[in-house]
Order: sequence, then structure tokens, then C-alpha cells
Amino acid sequence: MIVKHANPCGVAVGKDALEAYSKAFQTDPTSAFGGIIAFNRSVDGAAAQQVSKQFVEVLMAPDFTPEALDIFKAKANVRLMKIALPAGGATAWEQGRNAMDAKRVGSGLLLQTADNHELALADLKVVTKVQPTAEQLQDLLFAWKVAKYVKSNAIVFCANGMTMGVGAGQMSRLDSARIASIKAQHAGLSLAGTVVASDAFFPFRDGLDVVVDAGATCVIQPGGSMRDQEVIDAADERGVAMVFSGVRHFRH
Amino acid sequence: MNALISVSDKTGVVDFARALHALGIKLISTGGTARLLAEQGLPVTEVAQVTAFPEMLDGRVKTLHPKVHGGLLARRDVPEHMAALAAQGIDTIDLLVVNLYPFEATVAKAGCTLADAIENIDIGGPAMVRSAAKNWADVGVLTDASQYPAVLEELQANGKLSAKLRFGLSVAAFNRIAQYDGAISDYLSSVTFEEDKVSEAYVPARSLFPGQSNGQFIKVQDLRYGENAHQEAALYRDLYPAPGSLVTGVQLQGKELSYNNIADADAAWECVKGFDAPAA
Repeated sequence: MIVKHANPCGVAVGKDALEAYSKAFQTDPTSAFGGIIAFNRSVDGAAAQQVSKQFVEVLMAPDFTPEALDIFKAKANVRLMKIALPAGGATAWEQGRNAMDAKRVGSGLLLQTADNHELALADLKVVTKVQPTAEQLQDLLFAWKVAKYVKSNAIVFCANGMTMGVGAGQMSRLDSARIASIKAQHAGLSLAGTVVASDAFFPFRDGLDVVVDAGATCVIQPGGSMRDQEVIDAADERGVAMVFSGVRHFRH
Repeated sequence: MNALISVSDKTGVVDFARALHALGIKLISTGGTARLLAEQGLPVTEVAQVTAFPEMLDGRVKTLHPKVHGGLLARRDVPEHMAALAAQGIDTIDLLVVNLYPFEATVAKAGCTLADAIENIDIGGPAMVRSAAKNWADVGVLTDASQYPAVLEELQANGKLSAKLRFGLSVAAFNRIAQYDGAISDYLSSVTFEEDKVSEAYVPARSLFPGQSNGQFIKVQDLRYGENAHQEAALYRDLYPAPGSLVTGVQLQGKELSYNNIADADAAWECVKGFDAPAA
């Protein structure tokens, strides 16, 4: 995952660290400049070689091979951080996460339980005539996981375990969708046949139309709008699959 | 019933003590508080008389005595406890009225010396407050003048305090102690200690960021949910909110504010407040 200003500018999964990084970088090579990069696998020589071609501020991983460390010796300014992956378990603590989240407001503090919700395949509810393929379902879950870490309003296009366009932090969901689309274009990526995640519901059909116009053929969103039926009808009319997650992931 | 009164902030204490006296409650007190109550014509027993041990070390040791802490900590429902008190000639203390040396105000003054700060760390007061608050089932502990009316009301109506009030007072007491210790930790861990400068007049340099950060926040309200419906949330305020800050606002109408309402309201309020011209 490559981050700039607290938003992902590229996330991918792959068969190894090199492939995951290479795919993530393609999402937005321009913005990746000076980014913060995290791996959930040890960084080996091949991945290090590839990463060292870009300007990177911080690089995090559970471990680095001696070859990888050698490669970064030549780049002393790169901040390398080794962080052990959590052992995992039922509690936030065991997952290495905060149980509580705090935000400062004028002479006050907003405390909330952290957004540690994990969506499972069984939680998905298909609401359209067109059903998602098994591959699309995997991409939907991937896109949803990424959207959770994108500032609202979040629109995330994905394909083959890779982000294809990320629209973040806009006051209008339509603008986030448009920006995601523009960014994909700039990166030379086609959104045709992609899946797309929206961190909150589409209040009207226009949001759905924008993502389908951009090329998405499968959509994940929380549902729960007064006009859900309008949006479902629109998806059926456009011949795309849509699933409801039942959960919203606003992040500010 | 015996009440021990030892307050640094004497607001309302004379009227409160007079009302206790009128209810037949025996008054025990220390130093300045005892003198004040006696001047007002109230019969008051000096704590030194109770302990049969003179106040010493410039008042650093006066209530740190088994006759005080035994009287606060004994469980009235445990016969062995009461027998132990009787054997040692210790009377129960059933009401404790204590507020602490003004540490926070002392260190807030410009030019506060380390010696002055240290001298204003109350030891006996918090010790008694903790004893009384731990034994909330038998003792009512008052740590702020704002609590006097509710306590008097129950004493006058029922001759004793309800468990609900005693427990609430105990929680308030431990909250106050946490604030007090937090302020001490904030101050001391912000001091850049320079051994060669230590003297009575030493005013230490202090870091903006203490070695330990002790946030103290008071709950304003639970919120329906957090940023999202599956998150729980609550709004807290600073101990001392700044005038004109968001949490000092008063809602005049409408549904309860949500987490996201408050977060966005903060951005909006902070922004408009920065303009001199009419702004929205």
C-alpha cells in the first residue's frame, strides 16, 4: 500500500512482495512520489530493487532480507521500519489495533470505538438481477477493504486485486467518482469491466450512473438509502451487478 | 456522627459546618479551617486533640495518623473492625470534607519556583480522601463546595446519606484525585531539571510536552453512534473549556447532534471565528 496525505494512492495483492508493489505503483505513479509504503510480507531483494526506483519517504514491512537492506544502504534517507505483524485473535489488542479512536474538537474530545469492522463474503447481499462472478466477489471484498482507509467520500475502482482509480476526500460523492476516473485515465488504466466500492450509499441513481459510465460492471455499497430501489433499478437498467455490504465506512 | 473538615478553598464552609452542627454532628478540623470555624462560634475539635499527636513538620504531618485513617477506613458492618476501633479508642469519621492545596493554581503562575510547587503537593488531604472514598459504603466524602447542598438536603431529610449519593461522592473524589495527580505529573515531567540551579528560588524551565501526557476529559454526553452506525461514541470536554470553544455552545433546538455533526461543526466554527467581517 502506498499512501500520500493519509489516503491510499495504490494498493494491490499479488503472488509476492514485488508483484503486489508493482501493481500498487501502477495505480497512480505520479502521486506515489514521496509516498509511504507498507508491505505485509518481508521485502526481498527483487521488491527492494523495484521500490528503490521511486522516491519513498518511509518503507514499512515485517522484515527485510539482507539483500533488501543492502539495496537501501545506498539510500540512507529512506526511513525503513520493521514492524512485526500482530499474532491475530478476537480482540482489537490481539489484532494490533486501537479499541478506541479519539478526535479533538474545540475544548473537547470525540471518543469512539475504532472502525475495526471486517466484511465477510457471507455478509454480501446481491440486489441486482445480474450476479457477480466469483472473481468479482473477490475484487469487491478487496475494494471494500481499501475504501475503508480512504477519506470520505471514497470511490475505489479495482480489478484483479489492484486499485485502478481512487477518489478521496470530496464533499460530493459524484466528484470522488469523477476524480477516480480522471486519475485512472492519467495513469493509462482502463476502468472497463472493473468493480467499484463506495464507502457510503448512493443517495440517488446519479452516483451509480457515473461509476457505470466510467466502466464499472460490479458495485459494492452499504445500501440503506431511502432511494435504494431507484439505485437498484438503475443498476438493472444498466446491466451491472450490485451488492450491499450493510456497513458504512466514513473516515474523516 | 463525626465530620472532619479540612479545606484549602473555604467557600461556603462556614455555613455548611454550621448546618452540620445544627444536626448534632461533631466537628473535627485542622489549622486554618479550625480557626475559622472557631471564630464563627462553632465548637470544633482540633485534629491534634483527636490524634493526641502534635501537628509537625510545618503541617506536612497532621492527619496522617491511625486515629484518622482508622476512623475513615473501618467497615461498620464488620464486628472485628469496630472492636479494633474500640480497643484503640478510635472514633469513626463519617463525613470527610476536604479540598486540596491549590497545586494547579500555584504552577499556573508565572515564575513558580520548584520549591513552591513541591510545597503545594498535598499529601494528607488526598490520603484522607482516598481512605474515605474507598470506604464509600460508610463514609460520605466531599471534595468540592458544590456538593454541600445535596449532602445537607439528605442529612436534613433522613439523618444519613443514601448509598447512591455516597457512591457518587466517592467517584467524584477519585476523579478529583486523578486530576490532581495528573496535574502534578504534568508539571514535574515537564521540568527540565538542572542540578546546578537548584535552590529555594529555582524556577525550572519547562517543556511544552511533558514526559507523560495526562489528558483529563469530562463526559458531556453519549452519542447515538460514532462516525458510522457500528461504532459507539461519546463527547467529552476539557476540564476547563476555553470561552468561545465549540463545547461551550448551547443547542437551542433540533435532534441530538451526531458524531459527524460535531466533527464538522468544529471545522465550521473554528473557521468562521477567524474572520472579522461577517462570515458564513
